[in-house]
Amino acid sequence: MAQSGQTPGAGLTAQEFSARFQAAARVLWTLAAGLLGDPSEAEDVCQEAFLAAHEKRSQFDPATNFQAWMGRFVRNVVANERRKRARRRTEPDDPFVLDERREAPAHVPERLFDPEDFDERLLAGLRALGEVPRACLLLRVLREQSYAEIAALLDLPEGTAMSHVHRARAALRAHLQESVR
Amino acid sequence: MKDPAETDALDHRIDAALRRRFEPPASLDTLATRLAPAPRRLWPRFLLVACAAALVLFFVLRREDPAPVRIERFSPERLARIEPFQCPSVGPLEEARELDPARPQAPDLLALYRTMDACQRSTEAVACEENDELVARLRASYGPEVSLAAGASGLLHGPFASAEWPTATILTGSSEDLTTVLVAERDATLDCCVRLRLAESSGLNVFTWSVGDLALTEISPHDEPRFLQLFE
Repeated sequence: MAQSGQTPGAGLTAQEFSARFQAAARVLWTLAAGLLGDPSEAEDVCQEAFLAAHEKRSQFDPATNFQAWMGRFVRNVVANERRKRARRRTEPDDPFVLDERREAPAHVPERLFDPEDFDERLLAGLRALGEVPRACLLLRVLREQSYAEIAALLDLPEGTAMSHVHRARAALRAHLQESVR
Repeated sequence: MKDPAETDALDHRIDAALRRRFEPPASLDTLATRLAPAPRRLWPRFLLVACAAALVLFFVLRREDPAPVRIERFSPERLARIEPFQCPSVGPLEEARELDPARPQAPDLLALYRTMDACQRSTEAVACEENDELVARLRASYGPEVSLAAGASGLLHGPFASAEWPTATILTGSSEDLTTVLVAERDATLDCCVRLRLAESSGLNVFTWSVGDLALTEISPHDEPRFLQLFE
């Protein structure tokens, strides 16, 4: 169905674009962090997405969902970053993760109560998730996005977004329980 | 972990840890501002607005009997003694009329100096050559009591406006390759509505004097005002 109310070429002014971007910045940062599995590079991704989208702001229909439109740029930047990493990679996996797997104790249930250890195990579990489920979970937990909003950001059916959130959470629980068994 | 309470507790721990580990950096809140390409247009825009909005401080009409020029090193105590009551008049900018007279401005003179120094040193600094127009505006703003020495327009640049001091008109000059900033303001406005401040570590000096209804402030790295002789 054709989009109604669209003004061809209306786009956004630079100021309008900046204002909308800033309003969505935390959600976009979380999307980037979720896809990457690493918060340290999420701001760089947001910067690149900003610059790419700013160039194309005249193509944006103001009547549509800006956050979802920006989500495409974030996903593209992350995909490009992954391709670059794949070309650079020389190790089969992050050495830290491999060491951690080797060091996992056979039976130390008390470790679940050590906050630092809990966080590290949680992060390891998070890295083991697929990037889309991970992003769905973070957007739900950290930014309290609705399933419809998550679906729009990741271009998924709403039911799939919901499924990813629940399965990701269940996988994390299982990982934490497994790691202390 | 079958117990629902245990599951809930673990979920809460997971959520808390995720929030702890995925806290967006503070710099994200200014990302759009920092990345917006507006700075590329800042100087031309600034100059355009400044030249269109600012008025000038020189009078071309010489008086038969020029008023004596009062020169004094700026004394913070002078302004500290005066409590703001109202602004009987404000400077030349339209926007200035909306300023709240109950809230004195405290222009950051160091920031103003740095901005104007950059402007003075840029290739975009424009000479003040439209004497006729400037005279007319100065008469309207400050009264016909000040005149400008011959050749002054070749030594000074401007006029400019600055958000740091929105009720004033600003000019720049150069002496010994160092920039001097001249600020013109109504004397009454300066007294009741403007608080001058300058960080001690700035390396700059502030001089004020008045001619007729005009209050002039010179911000300079020199130990004495250098452009005073241009005002008669």
